[in-house]
Amino acid sequence: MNAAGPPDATGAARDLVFSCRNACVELAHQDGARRILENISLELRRGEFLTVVGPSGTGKTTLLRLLGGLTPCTRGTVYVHGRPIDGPPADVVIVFQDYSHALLAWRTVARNVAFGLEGKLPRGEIAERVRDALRLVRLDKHADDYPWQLSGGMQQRVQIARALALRPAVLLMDEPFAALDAMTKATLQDELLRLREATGASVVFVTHDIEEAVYLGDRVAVITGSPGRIERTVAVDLPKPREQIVTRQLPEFLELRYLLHQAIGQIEHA
Amino acid sequence: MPERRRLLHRINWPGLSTIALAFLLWEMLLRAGFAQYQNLPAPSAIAGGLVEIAASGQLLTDTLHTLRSVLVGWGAALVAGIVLGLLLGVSRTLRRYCLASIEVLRPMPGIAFAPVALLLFGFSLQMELMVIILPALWPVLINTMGAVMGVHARLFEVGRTFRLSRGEILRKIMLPAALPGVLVGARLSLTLALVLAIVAEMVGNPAGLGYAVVREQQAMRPELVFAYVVAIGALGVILNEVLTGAVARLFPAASGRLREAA
Amino acid sequence: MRSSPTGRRWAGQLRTMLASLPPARGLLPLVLLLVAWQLIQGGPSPYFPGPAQWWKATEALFDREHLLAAFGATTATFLEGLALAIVLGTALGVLVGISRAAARALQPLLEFMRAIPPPVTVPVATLLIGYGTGMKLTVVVLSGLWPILLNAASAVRQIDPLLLDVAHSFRLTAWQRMNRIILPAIVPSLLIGIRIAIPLAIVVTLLVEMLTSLPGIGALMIRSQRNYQSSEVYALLVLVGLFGFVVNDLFAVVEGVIMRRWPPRE
Repeated sequence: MNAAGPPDATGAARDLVFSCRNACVELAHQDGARRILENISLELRRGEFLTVVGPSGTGKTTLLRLLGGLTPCTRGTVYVHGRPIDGPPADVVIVFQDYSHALLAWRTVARNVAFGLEGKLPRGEIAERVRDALRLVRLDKHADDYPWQLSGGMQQRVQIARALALRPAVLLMDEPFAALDAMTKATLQDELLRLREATGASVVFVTHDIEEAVYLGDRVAVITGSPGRIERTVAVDLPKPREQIVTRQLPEFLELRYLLHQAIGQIEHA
Repeated sequence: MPERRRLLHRINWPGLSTIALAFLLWEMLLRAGFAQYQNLPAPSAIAGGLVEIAASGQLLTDTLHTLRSVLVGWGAALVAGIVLGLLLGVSRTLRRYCLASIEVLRPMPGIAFAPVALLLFGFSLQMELMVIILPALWPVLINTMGAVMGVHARLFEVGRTFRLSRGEILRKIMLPAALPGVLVGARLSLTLALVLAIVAEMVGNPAGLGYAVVREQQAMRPELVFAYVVAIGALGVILNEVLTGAVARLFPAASGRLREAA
Repeated sequence: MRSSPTGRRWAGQLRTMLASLPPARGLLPLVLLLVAWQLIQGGPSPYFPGPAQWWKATEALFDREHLLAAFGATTATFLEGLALAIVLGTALGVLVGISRAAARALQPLLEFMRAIPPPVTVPVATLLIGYGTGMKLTVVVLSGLWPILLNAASAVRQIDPLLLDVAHSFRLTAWQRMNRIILPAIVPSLLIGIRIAIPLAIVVTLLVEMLTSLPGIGALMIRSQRNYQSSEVYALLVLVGLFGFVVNDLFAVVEGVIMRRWPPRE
């Protein structure tokens, strides 16, 4: 991270997309409020791919919903583009893990992808963006199918296309490939990297799969404990473009993997 | 040659022999004095009866009368049930203040309204409607309410992450998502409306298919009684088929999902 | 009784059900309606007598028309008919479910009977059997029979084949298999069928009484209506509503107690 100038809380000066300091999230529970996240200090630079990895139950999803404006923070502030967050920000879109519940079953693929644009753009432009988005995820032949007619991997691609149609600055992805089989997962990982290159979007990618976190990320944030805390953040200095077999065999990859395993395991045994 | 054998296979021999057996059993019951012989018409007599009431136009008059009651009653139950179901599904406060009353009213059998309806409206369409509407409302209300409450939370979050207004979320997400449940309630309600109309005509308003059955029974014309029974059964099946077909035509996505879930 | 397992099951079930009742304030609309009615039109009237009048009419019915006897007759018919429908429906349903031949043989008959609305069977039965308690019982049984039969049959067909393999490997006789595996396995479906049959049986019981004036609440209702005794008609309506409500609730409790042995649904 560059140290130019005095630290500014909002991150506007350094052109950060997200910036939060000591954010806390408490959610209401039957026996009172439960603290899910604590002391979250996080930054996301423009064009960066940040992966968030950690065991289940540590609040990874809550962190994503915090950045996505779906859950407010109880303490501290989250800044997006230098301004405090107040509800879902305009150019930030969440891609959910359960694609079958996140797609509208009664709309065709094309109409699903158009969903976020309706009423905001003229019809011709919407059609064009839908076409582009479907072509990007390689589903242009399925524009008139219904989600239940597609496989799991394809449905997830439709959700990604729906997010991309908005030309968002940030994609927030909540374990999007967790429910898919290994081969589809590998294909979609590479496709996601390709899409990121093509669109230049920033990505926050939550996962419990350490290898996936290292493979995809420019930086990896480790979140552990209950309430969840960011234990450490590691820079991923692997060559690009990443490749499933070659990259995963590099000594740097294995080192990072070991490091992260330790980081998570250590905290658990503490 | 093999075609004839295949055809022979397809005929439901056990089924046909059961019908023959049923007639045999019937014969024995008659001999034992349990049933009255002269009132059991032969199938040919029933067919003849059907022709008779069709030709005289009586069947058409009675059917149209019942059909009118059914459709008006069902329509009213649909509108009221969907509106109330939507409101109750959306508002927990409303549910808290209404559910107990609904639970108390729901088990009331429609037929119990018939004497009150006769008192208030005499022999008229309104009398039948009073018997039909309230019981036929419950399936629509309950299913609509359940469908609204069952819309997956994730869908609402999708609406929020795409920054849709509340109205848009209602219109584009909640209503289409709840539609299959509403359609199930509508189908149940239609079947119920037909039965209630028949009951209202048997016990109250002397018109329509229900009254026709009782009328012919009191006139001791068994072949016409059975003919009307067949007509009633046929009307029920036809109404159901028409509704299913209309739903498939108007809401292709919803019926696809209904078939998926079935 | 409370310390025995059965007693504990009943107590636990009642507790669960009380906890899951909709909030009592939900009765507010009904109460408001009755209060408003009483205030607006409290006295006797040919069309809308107030609730206080209903109470008076109930007392009159009690003394004059032997309300209790009529109520007893209706309840007796309903319970007898339901019980027979359960026994016959289960027996026939299991037969149809087990034997593919029986299923094929009875298929056209079942489809035909299913398409006929239960109330229609009343005039037909009157025609064929005449006016009498035999006919009354027959129609009530028939009305409740089909849902129970169909549910039993489909439940038998859906029994996990693994369970039948278990029976085979333990060398159970056909009778033991029926008692220990098949009948218990179909209980949940049977309960659903009975739940559907109950309102049908109530309607048909009342219908028979209304059409034939055989003793019962239905006959009373028609008689009061013909005599333009509006308060009596309303009073009986409330009574029938209470009857339906109580029957449904009792059955829900019984159903809950029985189902506690099964894994919770969903």
